[in-house]
Amino acid sequence: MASVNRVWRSLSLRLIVFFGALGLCFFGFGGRRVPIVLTYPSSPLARLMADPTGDMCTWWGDSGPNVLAAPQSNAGTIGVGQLPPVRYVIDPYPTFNGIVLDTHSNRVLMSDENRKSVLTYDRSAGGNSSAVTSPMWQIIGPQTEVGFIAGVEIDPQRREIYAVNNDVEDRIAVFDYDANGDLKPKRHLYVPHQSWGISLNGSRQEMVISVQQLSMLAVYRRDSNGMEAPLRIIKGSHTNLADPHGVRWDVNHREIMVASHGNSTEIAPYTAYDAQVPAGEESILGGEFVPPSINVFDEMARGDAKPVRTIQGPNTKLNWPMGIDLDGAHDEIAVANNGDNSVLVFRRTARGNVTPARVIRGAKTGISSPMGVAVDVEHNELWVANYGDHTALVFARDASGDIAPKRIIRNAPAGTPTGGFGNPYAVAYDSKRDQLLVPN
Amino acid sequence: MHGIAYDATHDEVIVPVALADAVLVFRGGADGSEAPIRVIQGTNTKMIRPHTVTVDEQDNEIIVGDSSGRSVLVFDRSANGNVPPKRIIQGPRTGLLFVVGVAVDSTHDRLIAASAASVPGRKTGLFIFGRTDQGDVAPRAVIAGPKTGIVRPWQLASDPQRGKLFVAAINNESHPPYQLEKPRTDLPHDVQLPSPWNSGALGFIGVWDINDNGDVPPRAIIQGDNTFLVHPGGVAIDPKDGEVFATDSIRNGLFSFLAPNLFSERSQTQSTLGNGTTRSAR
Repeated sequence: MASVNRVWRSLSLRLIVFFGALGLCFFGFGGRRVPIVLTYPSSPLARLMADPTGDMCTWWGDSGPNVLAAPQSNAGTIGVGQLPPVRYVIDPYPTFNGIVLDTHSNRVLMSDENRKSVLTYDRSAGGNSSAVTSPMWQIIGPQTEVGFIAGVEIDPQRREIYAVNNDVEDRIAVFDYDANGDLKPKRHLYVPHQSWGISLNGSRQEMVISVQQLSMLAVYRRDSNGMEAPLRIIKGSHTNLADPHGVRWDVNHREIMVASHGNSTEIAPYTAYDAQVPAGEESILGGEFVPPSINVFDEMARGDAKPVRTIQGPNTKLNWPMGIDLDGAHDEIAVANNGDNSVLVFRRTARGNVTPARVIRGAKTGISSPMGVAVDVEHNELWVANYGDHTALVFARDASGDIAPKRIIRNAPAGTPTGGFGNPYAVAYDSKRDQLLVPN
Repeated sequence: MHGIAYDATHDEVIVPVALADAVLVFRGGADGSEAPIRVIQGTNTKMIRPHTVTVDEQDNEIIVGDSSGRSVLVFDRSANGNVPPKRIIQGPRTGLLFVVGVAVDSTHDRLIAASAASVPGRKTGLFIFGRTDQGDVAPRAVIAGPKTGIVRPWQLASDPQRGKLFVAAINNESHPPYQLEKPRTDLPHDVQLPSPWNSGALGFIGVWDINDNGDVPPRAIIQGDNTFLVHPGGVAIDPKDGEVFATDSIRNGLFSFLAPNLFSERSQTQSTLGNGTTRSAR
């Protein structure tokens, strides 16, 4: 039963997003008995300007949408056509997800799942203002191949940016350091569906990614491109991987650490390209919920390898762990603990059902559905990328408890609610409460 | 999660969890870190990757579309734990492959599955079965073909009272470069797969009659730049207020359309059951 409860702790985190979106829907769809009919300027350009996600409209061109075959012309025909929505919920601002720092070049980069972009800020940007913090650059647009983006990584030596698409595009897009606007990536690498985190190892000229639905880590050559296969993978029942997300390569200790949510399954086959498996030959192993964890592997591990250490159990307070980062100078691991709006810090060598060395959590912190975390040893700071608020927060590196951030980067004016949507693919109508339910 | 259903009769919310082979049932109005009231999970369930879900409030059943199992599984509404399904529709005669949407019309005694296929000789579209069909059975009707406009379907919503079927035709192209952990061998190294920004045909919300069959256009369609829809994956309806709801993955948003004419008249044709009649409402 305890594991079921833990299951729930992890699963219910999904519900936070789920019902967070629900709450916004309720907010956005309040007063629905008196529909608000939106009106549109007549010219396409003006309409784009009025559209809060206008730049996303342009991808199908000015010629308008495809015209489908005429609806059936029998008595049952009901014409609808280009019906404008009476209400909509769209977040016009970015939402931060992955985060990575380059203290040498004094910049911080964050991925933006909502607007499908990568934003670069000056490392010292932000403050106490309620206004939007201007980015230095933003990679965004139809040429970029950036879509439902998750992890972001940089190569300071080669001055490259790596953007990992998660749940649609199945590729990593690589850009030059100062890329800006709507431009093609300098190269791309196709990766398994639901890849999420990424970490580079400059010494080995390799990179590792996490893959959610396969509960897998895959190591590639750093310069991999196109359909290049991974050099090695870590996957199997002994790995303790279960819906992995944040991953970090500890170059000095030759280890790879990865955070798992705890959803475990086997999924073959899985695409519309795969034929029917003959009856009786399906892989029905049965899914399960396991406690969230951080597993550490030898960097050369492959196959169904056991982790060399595991942090897991109720004392750890792990709850939907997302991004992680390594503080090599102080031998610590920082975790964006999305499920309870906190950041957890563990000793690097911690194992088992251990309590975190520090926890940043509470109303003063401003931490809201954190997705990314980054440690700046040089400036003694800890960064948190929020998904539940339009902010990135900067704390003292050793901050603990319910403490306010030193400064804030905002991608929307203070107080702007976030949509909470993450690739919404379904909706249900709750007729009793007159509410809409949207899972992520 | 790529599916969700609301059971108004019992005030429950049902969601599939694809990455843990589970279907969860919450009380209506559940909030925050609230545990489900029932969990269907385990090897007996025959679920591999439950992708989508709907509920038959009249017949007390939960219907699950499994994209990896290439199956539709029917559970008792009150099922809990590692329990077997009451019925399974699965096998080559069903035509089902990548099942991404399910709906039930208890009035016309029909169960509908949206399935996508990139395997030669297999169809992408709407597969309409008898509500209690099971095993490796052929569908009673298939709505598929170029006139339908369906390149890639997703969530379904049913209006049994009027015999209408609402379809989210997401229509973005999906060319997965990997087969599980291995790159597909049939793709050249330098293949240029469609970009998410420029993939496929424009999506839409389409409406068909439950008795439609073959390569037939929708009877109504919500599509075009005024709608804001690009690749809508989710659809739900509120017949009482004449509204259609859609989620869109490109917009990362939720849209509400007021279309009372879609709910103003009864279906023009009667469902053809074995005895040639429709089921009477209970």
